[in-house]
Amino acid sequence: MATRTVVEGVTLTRRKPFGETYIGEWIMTTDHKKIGIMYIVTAFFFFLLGGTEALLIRTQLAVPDGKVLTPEIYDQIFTMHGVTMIFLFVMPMLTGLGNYIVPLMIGARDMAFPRMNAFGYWVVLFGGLFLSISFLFGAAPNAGWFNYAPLNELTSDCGINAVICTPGMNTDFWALGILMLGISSIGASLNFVVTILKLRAPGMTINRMPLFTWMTLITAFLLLFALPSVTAASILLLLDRHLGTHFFQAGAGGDPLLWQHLFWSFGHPEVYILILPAFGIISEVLPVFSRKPIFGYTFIAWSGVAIGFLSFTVWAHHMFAVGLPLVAQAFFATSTTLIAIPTAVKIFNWVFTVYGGKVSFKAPMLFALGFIAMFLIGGLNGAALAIVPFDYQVTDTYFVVSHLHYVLFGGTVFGVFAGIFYWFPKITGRILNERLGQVQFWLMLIGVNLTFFPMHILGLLGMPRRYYTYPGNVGWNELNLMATFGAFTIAVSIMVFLWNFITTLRSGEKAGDDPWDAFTLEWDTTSPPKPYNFPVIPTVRSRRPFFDKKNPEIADWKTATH
Amino acid sequence: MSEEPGQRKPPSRKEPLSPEALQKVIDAKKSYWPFALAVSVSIALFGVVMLPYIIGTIIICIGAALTVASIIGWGLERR
Repeated sequence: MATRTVVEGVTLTRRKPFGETYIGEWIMTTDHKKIGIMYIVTAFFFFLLGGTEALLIRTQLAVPDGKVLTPEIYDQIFTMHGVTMIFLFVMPMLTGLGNYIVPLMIGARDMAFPRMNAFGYWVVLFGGLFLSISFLFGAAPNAGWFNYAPLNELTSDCGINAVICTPGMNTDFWALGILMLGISSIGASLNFVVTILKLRAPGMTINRMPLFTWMTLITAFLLLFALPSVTAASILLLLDRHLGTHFFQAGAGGDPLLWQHLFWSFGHPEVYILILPAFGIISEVLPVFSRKPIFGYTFIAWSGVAIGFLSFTVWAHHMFAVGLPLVAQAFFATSTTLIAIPTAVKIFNWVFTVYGGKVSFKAPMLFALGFIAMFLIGGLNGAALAIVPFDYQVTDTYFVVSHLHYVLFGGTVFGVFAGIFYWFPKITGRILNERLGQVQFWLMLIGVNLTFFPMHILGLLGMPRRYYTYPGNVGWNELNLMATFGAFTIAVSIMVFLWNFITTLRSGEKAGDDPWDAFTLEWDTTSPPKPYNFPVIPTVRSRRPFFDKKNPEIADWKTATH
Repeated sequence: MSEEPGQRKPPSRKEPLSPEALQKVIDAKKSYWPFALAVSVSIALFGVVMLPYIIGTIIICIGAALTVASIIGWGLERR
């Protein structure tokens, strides 16, 4: 009997390569858009973490003699609140928006160095986790976000090794975490500089670049020049702690003030690193929602350059109270006052962009206008702090806390939300719910002012910052309670945003490719864009290339001289 | 002058490439080395935090070895 072999249903299956799985797609990606999304999501996660830390601080300070946290935990929480918000929320968020939007805006297919771009993101993620897991060891950084010497190593009777005096890992987590994040920022900055200078579409001269791209370029240069000082400071600190040097130990011939100079020569440019991209976002949103070209493009762009240069000349205004020579105080007071001029130039131009326009008060526009108002308050009380005798009175009080939060929350965070509401349709293809956006805006505006305005008065009444608690008989009770109530109002506004975000992703209205009738090249792609961005690299003839394409009869290049 | 058979004209910048061709260009750039290098550096630095305990030294050595391996892997990867 013959044997019959039956082969049935044979299918050859190929195991999917890791890079084609869902997780592999994200881990191995070098696409600037995916990396941008990962930056933004990671930053938002850390925003929630930093926000929770803020709520803990405000709960502790809501009433006198609070006992919600222990003093040791309180030190860690307020330090990590600053570190998280600055290094793990604002910087990655702005890098993420830049990553996603800048190549599209300039008509490029990707960043100049896609792998370095991916590396930068992963270092931010692991650097953030590295800093945050310090809580699990009960050893989160606890010497302020600036990690002042001698708190970071203590000076007396330490022998040769500072780590003996502060045996906890708190300071090491700070120094190494900042080193990691610095590596990421330097990589990202180089990438932005080369991308913007070398990959612009044909015809997009420097004077035709979108202002968000301008501000991202300036920020990248600031990072490249500012980061070395904090990197050097961190390395010197680690040498003090582990190899027996004494750079910052006064008792052994070192100088704790060296730390302050090194830190703030990074730390003040850092403030502009945090705000300049928000200036760029506002400069994109205002014209679109006013149906006008930006007023004073050249002044906005070059005032950004002026701010960039001046930002390196103002660092010691953080140090007026340490006993600087008179001439140094005069110099830094003058330079700090000077920097108000290019900033005011920008505000003037933004106001005149809106003036006379057909203004549409959609959520991105509301956040942009909120930015101007809040940043103006932060700028004015910052100018007050440049006056040395006044600074003596309020240094290290809640007045300073109020100032920096009006700039960084009222300014940068409002700018970030303007950008998120504006570009969300491009990134996801769906448009965030307008009504929820408006609710979020008003809650946030009320919350910010309830939280941070009373801090001006608290500072003038002498309440020091970073104190664990306060007695009930010094007249600070009501103002602190009000600030705490405001902080929880901000938290509610963020919950509204989260709800809006989730529901929009699940069932939000489809946005189309150009929901705002916008002017710049990122809207001349699909929403979300294809991996290659543009099938054909566009040619640019004016500052509003997409406007020109949609309105050839009144195109800017027909009349503009730039 | 006519083109020889099999000779292809290089695509000009203004000519649209097909979506498939563009996709291929993008896909070629995928790499896990950036991720691997970031993990390796993080491990090495975590070891520094654990100093002066011996476990710290061990973690630093592992992290450093992985970092070197990642840099070499990244450098040798075909683009």
